[in-house]
Amino acid sequence: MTNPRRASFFAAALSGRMDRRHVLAHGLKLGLATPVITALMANAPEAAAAPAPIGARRSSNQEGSGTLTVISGIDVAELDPHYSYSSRASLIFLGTYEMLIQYKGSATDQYDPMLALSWEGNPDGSSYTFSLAPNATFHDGSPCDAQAVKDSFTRYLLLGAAVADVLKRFVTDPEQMVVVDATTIRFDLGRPQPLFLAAMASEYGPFVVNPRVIEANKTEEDPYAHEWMKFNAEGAGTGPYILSENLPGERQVLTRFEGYHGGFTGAEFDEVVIRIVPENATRRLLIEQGEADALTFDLTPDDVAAMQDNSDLQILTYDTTRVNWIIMNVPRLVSKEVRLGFSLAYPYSETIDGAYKGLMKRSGPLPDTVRGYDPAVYLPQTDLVRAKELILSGGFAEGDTFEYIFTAGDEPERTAAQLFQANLAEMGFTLEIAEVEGGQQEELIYGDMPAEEQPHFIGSWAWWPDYNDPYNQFYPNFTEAAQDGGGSNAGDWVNPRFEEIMVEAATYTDEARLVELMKEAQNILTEQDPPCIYQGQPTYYTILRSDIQGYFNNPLYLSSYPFYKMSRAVS
Amino acid sequence: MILRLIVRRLFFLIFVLFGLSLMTFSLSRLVAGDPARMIAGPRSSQAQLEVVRERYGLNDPLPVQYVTYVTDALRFDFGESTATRRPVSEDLKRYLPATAELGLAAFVLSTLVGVPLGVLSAVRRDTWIDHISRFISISGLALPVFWLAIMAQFIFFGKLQWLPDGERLPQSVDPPTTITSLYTVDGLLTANWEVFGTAAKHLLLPALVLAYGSLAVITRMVRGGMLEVLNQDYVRTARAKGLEHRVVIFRHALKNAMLPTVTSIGLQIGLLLSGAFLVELVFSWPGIGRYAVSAIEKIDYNGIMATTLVIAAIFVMMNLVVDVLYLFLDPRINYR
Repeated sequence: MTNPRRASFFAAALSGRMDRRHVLAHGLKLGLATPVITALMANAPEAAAAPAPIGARRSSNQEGSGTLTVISGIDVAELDPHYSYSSRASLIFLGTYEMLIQYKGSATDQYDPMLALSWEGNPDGSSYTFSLAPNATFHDGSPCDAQAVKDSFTRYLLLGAAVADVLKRFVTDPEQMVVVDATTIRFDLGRPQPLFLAAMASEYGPFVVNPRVIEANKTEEDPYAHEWMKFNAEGAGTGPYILSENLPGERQVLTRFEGYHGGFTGAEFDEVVIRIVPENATRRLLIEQGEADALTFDLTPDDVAAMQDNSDLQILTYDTTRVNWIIMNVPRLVSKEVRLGFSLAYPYSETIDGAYKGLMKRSGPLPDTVRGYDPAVYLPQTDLVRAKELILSGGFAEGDTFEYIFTAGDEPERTAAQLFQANLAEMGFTLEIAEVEGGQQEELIYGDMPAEEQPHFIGSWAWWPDYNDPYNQFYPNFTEAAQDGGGSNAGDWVNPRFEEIMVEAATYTDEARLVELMKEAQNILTEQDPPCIYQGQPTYYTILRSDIQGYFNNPLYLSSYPFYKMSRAVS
Repeated sequence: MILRLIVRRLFFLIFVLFGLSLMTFSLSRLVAGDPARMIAGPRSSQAQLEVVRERYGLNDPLPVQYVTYVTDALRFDFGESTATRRPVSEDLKRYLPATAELGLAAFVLSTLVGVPLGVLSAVRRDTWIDHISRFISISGLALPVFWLAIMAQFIFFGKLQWLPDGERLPQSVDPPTTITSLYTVDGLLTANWEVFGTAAKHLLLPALVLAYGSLAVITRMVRGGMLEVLNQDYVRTARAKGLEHRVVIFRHALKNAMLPTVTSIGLQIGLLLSGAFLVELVFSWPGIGRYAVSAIEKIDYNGIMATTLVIAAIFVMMNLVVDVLYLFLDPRINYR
């Protein structure tokens, strides 16, 4: 049936006979109708199942320290702790999930209980037994017993993500995990493994995930429920906080899990809000104005320097396990003498003082927080005369041009690159600097593009180990296997003696021998045959409002907070 | 005539979107970067990367990838974002309303302030109002929106503490019942005055910053148009007939002066969308601009293409609306 008014409207419109009054009248009706139509569309059933924001919003009961607001410049894309390899995601995981053990305070070689209240290794370190907290439950109330731990680690292994390598080095078969009784689990490693505890305390992967939740959400195509776990966490963890809200691009909210087996003293925060604030200037304003309580390593060094005298803030600085370096392209830089020459041409003190405002200290490839660090490691000092001799010895001539890339938006690295450019200019060489997006830089480093086609230098690169282990720092960066996508050996550097050292270090059992091996390895990497220019260890900082207490850092948990230990001082 | 115009434009829109999709697809594939690496993580092995490439169809030949993409896009399936791991259509549904609300508020502000200011500036030429209006026009065009956003935030949030730093709603306030997904509008429609007030307060600063550039253009256009028509014979005739000043200005002069301004206002919507990229970053506004920036940084092919196509489609549609409006504003215009 045709509506005559509608027909006349369309007829008028189509014939161009409609006057302005008609347009206004119909426009007004359309304007009023739009919200109604949109409402109907919004309430229409979804065409396909799509991941929804986690949980319902919970209000804080304000019995404890209220809300802790943390700000972060980046969002988290992956909420599955058995898949994610991101320290930003671990900021959430360390509050909502638990490993069996964790690094103790700021130590990198001592451990504190988490899900396991106690643990012990057999005399040769080939087997480790963990006694679990008997009252531990998952967020859905189901018990977290030894079988659940085994099932969780089985999923972690079999899901096959890169982060599983942390466990796979020690356990490759689920049968190596033995449920002794309801609260006891044993890991039979087959041979002495002195680093097993270190790996089990890593912030990358060894979290215990509720197998019942996995079972309930798995599908035929996705037997480990990864698709569900990417965006969800309901009932999955045992940690002191529950991920109660996840608004992508805006914030994640953690609320207290009242059934936490460790209990609460009452002083802890009721709620932790992690707000995503992409702009540096806004982050600074928020912490200065008291709109946020905490921020870690997420400002420019200039901003941190400018905030030093603010009595409303605590600025805590500390060393982590991270080292920044510039990858040198071995085939294009011809010889180790040339590479040593560029190492001597680098403006170390200017970079630390000028670009990083003192928030960095010199180091070789291994930070002083990781076992095997050599305090007497060779650190090249800027010497442009010697540097020029070495570079010219490789067949280069004055006036030659070199290419340098770094990550777009990395302010300290931009300054550092310009300082390096100035030094090379003083020596008669030209350094062409280009900025690339992070994704492009990773492709250059991890891709299989021939070294001959890559720039001479790739800046803005950094590494830290998954756990306290020098092999974990070196293997992915400097071995032959780490070339062409196998790791981040983008400069195609190969040193036969270094390869031998790595083979031995992979299976070491004697700590003294490891220290000896690492001393040699560090000398090869810095003085004998440098593949990189090591800028140093960036000094991390956490900025807290003055009334926040209980915070401590651990060099291996780079961007995280001990939420469970933190509270707000009563004024 | 209008139907023909609309059909013709919609027909051309297909080619525009096809061309754009081909261009963005080719360009995004030319940029060095491996989305599989972004998904699997930098420390993943070749075998793990292969699994991801297979899952996301990244191993298919480029023409196959393109055809698959276009076929799916016709069903509003833009694939999965390699940055957020969600379906891109879901992401658009989540982020587009925030940008729409911001853009709409900026559009309304720039039009409601810009048109009267332009009129006043022309009518009171060379007075202090005109000088202020010209200052606004020049500064609005000259100042980069990114700088303006940081300064506005520093002054109104940092120093004066009159307005919030950004965000659509603070964590302490629950969003309103979803009707249009625009928080201010939904707050109004559900008579949730707390939400409406809070959302409006949060919207004001980013909208003002975003509006400033458009306001400058509109003010300048209206002023120029008014100055031109105020000297026309028919305006003098209207005045000679003894019509009230207000009637001469608004009914006779402004109506004709608005013709070029309407075109400009239509185009401003496109510019507001592009300006939103930067404003959203500064004000932590969870909109399509921020989403696009993140997609670019993370080599999220599907995210980049979908945002480009959506913005292009909005731009083209706005031009169509302007063309249709022209027919009503000026009967002399004929698109044949």
